[in-house]
Amino acid sequence: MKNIFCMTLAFLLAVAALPVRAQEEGETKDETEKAVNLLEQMPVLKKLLPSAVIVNYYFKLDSKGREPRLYGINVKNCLEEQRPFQTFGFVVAGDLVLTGNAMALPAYLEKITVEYNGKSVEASIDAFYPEQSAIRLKLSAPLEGTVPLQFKTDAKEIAYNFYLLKDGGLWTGGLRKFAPANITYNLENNEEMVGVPHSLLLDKEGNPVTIGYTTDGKIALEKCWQDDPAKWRAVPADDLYKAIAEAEEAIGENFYTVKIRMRRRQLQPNTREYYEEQRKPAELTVPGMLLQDGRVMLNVRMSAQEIARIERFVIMVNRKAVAAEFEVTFKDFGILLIKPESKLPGKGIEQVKGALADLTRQMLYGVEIRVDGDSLDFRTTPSFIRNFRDGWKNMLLPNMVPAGVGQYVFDMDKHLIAMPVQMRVTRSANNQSPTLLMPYAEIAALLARPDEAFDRQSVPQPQVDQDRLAWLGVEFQRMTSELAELKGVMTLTENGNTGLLVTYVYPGSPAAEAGLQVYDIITRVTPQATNIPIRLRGQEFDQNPRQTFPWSELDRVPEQFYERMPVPWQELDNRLNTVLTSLGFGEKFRLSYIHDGKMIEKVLTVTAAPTYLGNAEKYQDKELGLTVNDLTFEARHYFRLENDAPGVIITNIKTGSKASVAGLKPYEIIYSVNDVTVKNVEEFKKQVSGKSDLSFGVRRMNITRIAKIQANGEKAQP
Amino acid sequence: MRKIYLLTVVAALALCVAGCRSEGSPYGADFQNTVTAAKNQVFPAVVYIKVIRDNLQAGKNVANTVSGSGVVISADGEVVTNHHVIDKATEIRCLLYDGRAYTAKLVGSDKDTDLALLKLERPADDKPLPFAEFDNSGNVSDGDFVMAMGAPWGLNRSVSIGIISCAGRYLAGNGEYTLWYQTDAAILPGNSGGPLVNTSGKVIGINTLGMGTGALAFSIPAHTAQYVISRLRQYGDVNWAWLGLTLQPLRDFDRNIYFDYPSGVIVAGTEPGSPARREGILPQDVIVAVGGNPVSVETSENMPDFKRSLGLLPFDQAVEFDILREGKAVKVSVTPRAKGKVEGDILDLPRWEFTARAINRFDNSDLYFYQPEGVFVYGVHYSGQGSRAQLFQRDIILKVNDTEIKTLDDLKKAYDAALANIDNKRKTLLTLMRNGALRQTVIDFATDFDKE
Repeated sequence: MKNIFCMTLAFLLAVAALPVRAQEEGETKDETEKAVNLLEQMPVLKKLLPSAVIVNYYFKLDSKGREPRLYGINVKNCLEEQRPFQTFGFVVAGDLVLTGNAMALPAYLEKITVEYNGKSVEASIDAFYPEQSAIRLKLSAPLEGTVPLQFKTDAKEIAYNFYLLKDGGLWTGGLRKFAPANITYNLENNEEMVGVPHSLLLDKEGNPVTIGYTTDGKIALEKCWQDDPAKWRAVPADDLYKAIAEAEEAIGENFYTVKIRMRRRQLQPNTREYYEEQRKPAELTVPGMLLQDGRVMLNVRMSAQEIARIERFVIMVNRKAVAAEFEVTFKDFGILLIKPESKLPGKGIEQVKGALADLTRQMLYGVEIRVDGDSLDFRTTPSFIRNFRDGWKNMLLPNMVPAGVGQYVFDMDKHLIAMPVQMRVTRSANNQSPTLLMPYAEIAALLARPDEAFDRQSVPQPQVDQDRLAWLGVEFQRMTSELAELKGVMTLTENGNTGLLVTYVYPGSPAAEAGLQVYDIITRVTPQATNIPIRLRGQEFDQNPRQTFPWSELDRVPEQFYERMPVPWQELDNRLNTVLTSLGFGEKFRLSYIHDGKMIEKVLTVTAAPTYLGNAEKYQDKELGLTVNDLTFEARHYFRLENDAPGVIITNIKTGSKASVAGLKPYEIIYSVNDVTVKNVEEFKKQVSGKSDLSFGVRRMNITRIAKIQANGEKAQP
Repeated sequence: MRKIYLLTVVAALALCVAGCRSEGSPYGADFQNTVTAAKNQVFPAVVYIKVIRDNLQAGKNVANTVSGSGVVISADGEVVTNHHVIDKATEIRCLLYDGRAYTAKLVGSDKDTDLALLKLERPADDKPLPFAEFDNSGNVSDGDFVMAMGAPWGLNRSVSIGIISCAGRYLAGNGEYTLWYQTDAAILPGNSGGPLVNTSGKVIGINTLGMGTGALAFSIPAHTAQYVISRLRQYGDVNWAWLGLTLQPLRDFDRNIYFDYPSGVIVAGTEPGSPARREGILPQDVIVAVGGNPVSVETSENMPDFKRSLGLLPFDQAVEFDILREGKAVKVSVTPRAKGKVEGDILDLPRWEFTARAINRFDNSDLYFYQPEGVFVYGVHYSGQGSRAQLFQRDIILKVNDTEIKTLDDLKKAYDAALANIDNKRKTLLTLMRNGALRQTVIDFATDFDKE
């Protein structure tokens, strides 16, 4: 893999270099060509061959059955095909070989062998070169016939590069005219660099001057012609292993399993949300990181709604539980801060010192932290920063080698450099968000700017407030391409894939105030905070179009299905309102909708919905086996009831209960108790309490009847 | 399968009768003679009925042939059968025991009691017809021997014997105006509409519902049928009087609901726009007398008789209700109205590949709740345009393009208009109401079946 990469790179370099030469060196062209006539250099090539060896890495799974994470090596293939990963190296002393970095820890290595001329000896990793991303192998015995490279330290230029390559399945040595890929000047740290291929670099006479091992394909310009690998900064392997072992211990002291116990959402059965909720665990278990101020930072992305339902936090310390209190959540990132009730044993994670840019070409390691029951499981991989990318709000985010955003990155002194963080802001309707590898310095800086960093709205709520929901106040159906075509909005709705066709606007709702009308098509919601439009793709928002309530069959529905009956109306707890809720109450957003074929945009505020069935006042009468709710606005709309029409709605009937025997059914309305009309749950409760003879006025759609129940276990007359 | 089953039953019965004879019948020769006499008396009047009917349930008109039984009840060719035998018939043919065949005309039919009256179209020189007589006395008790007769396959008649298992069976949801005779005399498919005959050779019921195994079957009592038949003869339909009352009996053992009144019937509610509501009858009122006659509906078994008495009130003529309201006696005068249709008409929309039906308050009360005057999707032809447009049964059609739809006529006009404009615009926007919520969908046209 690497070989091919080198070859491609070298080829590109050669091509890129040609026109430059032609223009600038026009007059000396003949002389130069003569100087680098490759055809005459076969002796140079042959002379170098005894210094090049083949290196075989035999991988294995570690004691927990995991594969190593390595840069540019498909370990899985090697393991499945029962073959080693092969690369080449250069002999620098009798028993020392330099090779490109396969930074596998011993736990993942069955063995390493080094081959020359059909002979093979075992080798072990002796040292790491973080700046060069290379390693030094120590052979168990010198390989017969190999010649260590002698580096020339006063070369003036590079003329060739030499490499080994598995060409058509056979190892081949190669020599190429050297042409630098580019030269660069870093405006921020004033580094002068030159792009080099991954190979042995030679001067005009064929003397080795250095090896082009790099982390990012570049070496410093001043080192280009004379950089004896003997002078490279080496980290002895034992030092790294020791540092990692210490680090895992230190991490163990500062990371804890934290359990977040949550209340369930109050959802009506038989809806998509209901089943999604059922699948979710009631307790989240996440790693928590102890900060130096004693607080614990939880790496978990939770929406305002989820945070509202948090009941308690428990930190597991040596298998003992320590309670903690919610402190605050970050606005943009999935990070919670909690405060333990008693001091935790660790000292707290230390932040790395110095600028992030200075950490490139340093020996680092990444630790993946997973919760494993009550304890944590660590997996450490030597790594380094390859380069950076621009991230959220211009933050510089490191790209690691081996790649991966799911790791906590530490330096050799156990200082935290970066950590994985999920964005908390909503960027799409399905509410998924990428994980970033975020410099810890940025997080620490945010901790010092609480007003900017924290979301003070999202806090755990008492049970009654947990299901507060934002609303727009519309009922809708999904668009289809046929509808889009007929309404002439194919482009605006992306062929009917985007858009919710409004089928009802609740009076007094934000939608009504914004002037939305039936048959308008809502296409996008753009939160002002992010300015990233969330497209409302119909498919994701569609509610089961087949769902109709079995009014005509209600008397035949067996009791055991009562608690699984769908709510008759389009629920408020739909995906549109969930998206709005996730933006946060009080946040502004731009609503884009199509009215009469024209796109209209209006700025609205995320507003809490009035009490709906999901969080309405509820009364469960255990003796009667009956649960009733206030007639909330959406139920009133469904039954076409005036706002002041009396009644409470039955939401559940216990099997075999008195209410069930009396023939009461879910979603019937009780409008009177013993001839007194009841307007809400409060009044219902007052009327039924302490009474033994109950006579309910019951209405199903528009048909009324009287149901009588003898309460307090008094025997009914025959 | 059913045929084989029926054959087996007949064979078994024959064997049994033969066996009984040879071993000496426990009922004696007299009983056999009685059965034979009764059979001989009614068999000639049993009619085999063959019907071609429109069936629009599957979303397009699939005419099919069904058959059933009937019984001639007068010398001039009146035949009684079940409403469900001749429902949606486009052609009715009857075959008599003696081989004479007639086309029959529908005189009238009543869905509520599942009865229909036919008149055979006889040539002028026709011989008199054999007919069976009703026993309207209502003197039928549990345990009486009865015979169920029918003509399932043309010329042959069949008879099965059993007893009245229950002379006053209440079937919730089946028969608002009548109780049923339950019998273990087998009533099998094809026997629907045939007579239930007592040992004196008189018709005491019309066989209607069989429950597969044959040991559980139901017949409409003759004393119910007589009212229905006379009104069918007179008006062409029963024209039940309608007040719009929802009633509850005084005692409901199943639901453990007991009202503490010695007699009367409980008003559970009144229907919107009904005479009862207009005259101010209220839920929880207790009706103690109607037109001066005391009322008592103790249990739901008493309900059909009371409802029938209300249903047979002359309409457009006020009748006085004695009501007990919150302990006080009140008199309310209500004028019943004709009940009218109990189910909506059906319209076939062949190129949209679905059928539509008018909403009827009695048949589709949940749709009526949202749209008292309107039409709904009755059948959707699978894989047709309607099903592709995701139309579902019971979707109320509110609009076709911009035209509001209230009646089948409106729908037919809109359909024709859309069809006429097909070259300019193939697709039509339908606005529906499903489960109380608005919905839009687009329907395309299918191939022109008429041209094919």
